[in-house]
Amino acid sequence: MGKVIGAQVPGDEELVCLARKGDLAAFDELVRRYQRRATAVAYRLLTNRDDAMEVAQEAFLRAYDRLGTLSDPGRFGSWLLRIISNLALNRRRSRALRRTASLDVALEDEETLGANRPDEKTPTPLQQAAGRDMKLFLRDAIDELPDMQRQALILFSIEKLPQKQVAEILQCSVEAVKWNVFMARKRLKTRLRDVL
Amino acid sequence: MIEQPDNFDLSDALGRYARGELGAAQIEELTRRVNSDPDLRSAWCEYQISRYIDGELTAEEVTDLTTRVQEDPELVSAMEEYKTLDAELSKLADDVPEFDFVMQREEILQSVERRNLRHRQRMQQWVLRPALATLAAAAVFVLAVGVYLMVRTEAPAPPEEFRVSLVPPAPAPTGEGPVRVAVLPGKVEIVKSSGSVVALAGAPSAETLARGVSTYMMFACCAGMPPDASSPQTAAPILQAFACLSLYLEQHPLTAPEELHDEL
Repeated sequence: MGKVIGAQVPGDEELVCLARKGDLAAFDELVRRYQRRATAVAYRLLTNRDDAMEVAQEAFLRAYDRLGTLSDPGRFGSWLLRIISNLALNRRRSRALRRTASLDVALEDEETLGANRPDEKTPTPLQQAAGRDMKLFLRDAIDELPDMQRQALILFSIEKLPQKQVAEILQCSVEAVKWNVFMARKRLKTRLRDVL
Repeated sequence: MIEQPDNFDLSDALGRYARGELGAAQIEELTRRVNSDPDLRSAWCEYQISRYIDGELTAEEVTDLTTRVQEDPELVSAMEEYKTLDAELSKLADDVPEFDFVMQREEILQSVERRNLRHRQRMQQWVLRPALATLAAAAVFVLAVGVYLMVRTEAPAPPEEFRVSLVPPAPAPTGEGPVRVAVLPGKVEIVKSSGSVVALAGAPSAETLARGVSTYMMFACCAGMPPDASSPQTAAPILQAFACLSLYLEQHPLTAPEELHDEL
């Protein structure tokens, strides 16, 4: 292990510089500092506990491998969250592909076995919402937002990150963040009108 | 998405408005469009409500929004819905399951250590590889030198007919320009630069001359360069040969090649 971090709390920049030189204690401190937020963001983006843990872990490892490419070590946090959001997006996409594939198989099986089609009078999500926990319903609604809107809303309205940092993470303008947050709210409001 | 008739990009216009990039005329145009189109007006007000919730409106914009909300009951409910939604979203901040962060940290550090170990091993390989490559190159070089020396040793004997240019550092025969000398068994040939051959059969110093020129040629063929005239081993016969040549040329000065042929 590397040298012990001193009593004075070092900044991200210092920790990143030490970690680049192979100081594991410095990197450990960065992990300690950001793992809660990183895992929480991953969880919100993925809505799955195990996936969130895996993605957060992978993000830290990827960050460690690429510390040398970080142009501004003081912005480690934003950079890490950008990695998290990219990894989470990739995982969501691959999960969706797997889901589609398994659904195709299921439909084929149904046709083969002559199973009944789902009841067309199945209650809509809004109707179901009345009896469901608000948080769960809200989480599902967020999950269905377009990627950019979902990320902007989670980072800004839930994680309470400043718009500028959200813009850094999503690599867009502050105005785009505002607009995406607004559009996400608008969609959620429409979706949850009956519940709110 | 919000309807945006006439190719009017509301999101762009709102963004530019929020950044303060719109001029007075553009703001007036935006206001005119927003006021004349119910959908745009609704979208505009909702956007302002969203910004209001985020505390981004200026005092003037708050006053404007308040006026609009007071005039439109739908906006009152929209404002309430946005506030409620924002409160519900804030509650989600605490809605995170328990994670074993200690275990997660340990796993991350173990993975990093494993990667570092692999990296060191790779680095060692990369250090070893150049050493092996250098060794291989040295072996090839030694082999090449050996083959070269062997080929040189087995080089064919100098041809029976020698031709040599008397170019510096060897002095040319007196009074002449570039001249070549050829020594054949029993006779000496002087080849002028024009390429014509003059046979000098029966020259009194032909054997001496031949010996000297042979020595000269041996060095020229084997070493690929004229012999060192300062070396006593090679200088004597060569100088002797050239002396003979000089003597002969004094007695038989060279003229035009044609004339020499004619003499012969």
